[in-house]
Amino acid sequence: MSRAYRIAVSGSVERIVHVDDGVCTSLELLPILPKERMSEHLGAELARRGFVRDGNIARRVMDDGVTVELDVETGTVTVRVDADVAIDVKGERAASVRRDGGAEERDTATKRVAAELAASLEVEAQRRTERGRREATARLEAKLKDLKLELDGVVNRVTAEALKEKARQMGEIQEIVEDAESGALTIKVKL
Amino acid sequence: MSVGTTTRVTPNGRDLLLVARAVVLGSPCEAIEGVLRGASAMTGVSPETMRLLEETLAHGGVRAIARRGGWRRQPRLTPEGARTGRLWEARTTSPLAFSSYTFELLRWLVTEPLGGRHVGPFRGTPRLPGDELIAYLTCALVERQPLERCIAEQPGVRRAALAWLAFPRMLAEAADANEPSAEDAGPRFAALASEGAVVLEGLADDLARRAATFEREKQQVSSTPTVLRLGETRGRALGLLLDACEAVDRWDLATFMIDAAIQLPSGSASVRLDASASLRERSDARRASAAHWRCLGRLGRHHEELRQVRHFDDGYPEAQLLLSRWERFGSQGFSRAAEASAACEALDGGDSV
Repeated sequence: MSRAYRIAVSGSVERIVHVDDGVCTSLELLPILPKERMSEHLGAELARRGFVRDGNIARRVMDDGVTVELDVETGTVTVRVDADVAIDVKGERAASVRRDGGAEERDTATKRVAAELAASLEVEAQRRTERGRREATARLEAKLKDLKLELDGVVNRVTAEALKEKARQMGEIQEIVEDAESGALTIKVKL
Repeated sequence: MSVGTTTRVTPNGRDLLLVARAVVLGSPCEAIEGVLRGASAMTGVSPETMRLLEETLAHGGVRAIARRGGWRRQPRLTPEGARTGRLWEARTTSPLAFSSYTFELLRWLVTEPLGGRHVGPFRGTPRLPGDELIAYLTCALVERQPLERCIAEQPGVRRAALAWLAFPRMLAEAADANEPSAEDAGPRFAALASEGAVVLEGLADDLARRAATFEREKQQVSSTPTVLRLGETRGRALGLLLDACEAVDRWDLATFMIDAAIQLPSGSASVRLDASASLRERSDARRASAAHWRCLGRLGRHHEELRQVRHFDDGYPEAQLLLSRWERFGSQGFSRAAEASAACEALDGGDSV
């Protein structure tokens, strides 16, 4: 009876994977004033809320790797999350070969086991990458509700400022009443 | 009492007529499935068979569009101006004509062993309104039947604008066939809105019903790639149709989209997508899925323009005709459509499962 060799192959996959996710939408701003003036009001309101201006883009980098970018000219809003996921997967796989099989059989078996191990490690690495992507997506989703409320507030504020400017162009403003709760704005103008 | 004469045709001719009758009369697919699945050679067609085929198409074609919306007595735009009546009362001459495409399609249905392993492709290109109608009725014949995919994959069927308008799910699901897309049928949309307008008008009820069914069924799908594909397919077809309607100022031809929206409850634009997909994918799918509502926005803008047409302006009767046709939906309906579309574009655009 022939005795058997036990071949054991161990390996690891170590890499840093960049994952990202994001959504895009646009602000619905009423064209109360010329486009340039609406952009200026939007830029000013965003600056007041802590956005940093870089050309036409107002940007805010939040914790958890979430970034919000607004193009003040087009009103396009991009929210994205970026993260680096460290993948470190280790594994071992073994197989038996006949002792009398010769060196060639051992080499073949070793290569086969190594290939199987590499494939399984890669599958596990992909699974962890996907898990990292889902965690990033979850962080992004958690921010969206608050962000939407904030952007609604930005639109309301910019609209109100634009209406006031328009009213000033139309005549002499006699009274402005703003209801912060309902968002209602009443402007009395003497023409 | 007179006794009708019997016309003798060859077995192939009989199959051709059976298939043509099933297509134009809307018979169940099972009635001719044996013919469709069988292979046969058709070397020629006798003059008698050809005469009967022409008669079947002429009578059956008119009957098909009469039953699917042409019967409705309503205000219609005609070259002579606004008229109220059924389709054949408003348009006394029939532009329904068929080219060799129709004959080739019917012959292909008879001769190729559909559903089998070796089906030769049908590569015709529709040229006349009647061809579009036959492509449409062929899709209707096999819809939700085992042969559905086989028909939807055919390049000749995918070149018909009406197929894209009425059967977006069927054609989208066969998209991996990498065959012509709605864009390739672009010129056909333009032709459909001009010389084929009578077909679009005649099928209006059916198109509305199918559009509403498509929207309802889409809501049951949670797979993000599937919703994206369905939405993009729908968006392209409706966009091309509206482009064509705008080019010839026949916005009335898109009324079926409004009639479909009336049949749908509020919230029909929302979809519940698989939460495991990335937010970017879900967002794209959600945006695409709102195609019908987004296109209604385009109609809504035209609705506003029509409301500005004064009684002494040119085109006042036509504007009033369209306003009366769209009255049931009205400004409120267009606002609802805009809200539905905007909700799908919002940052937190919907639930996931």
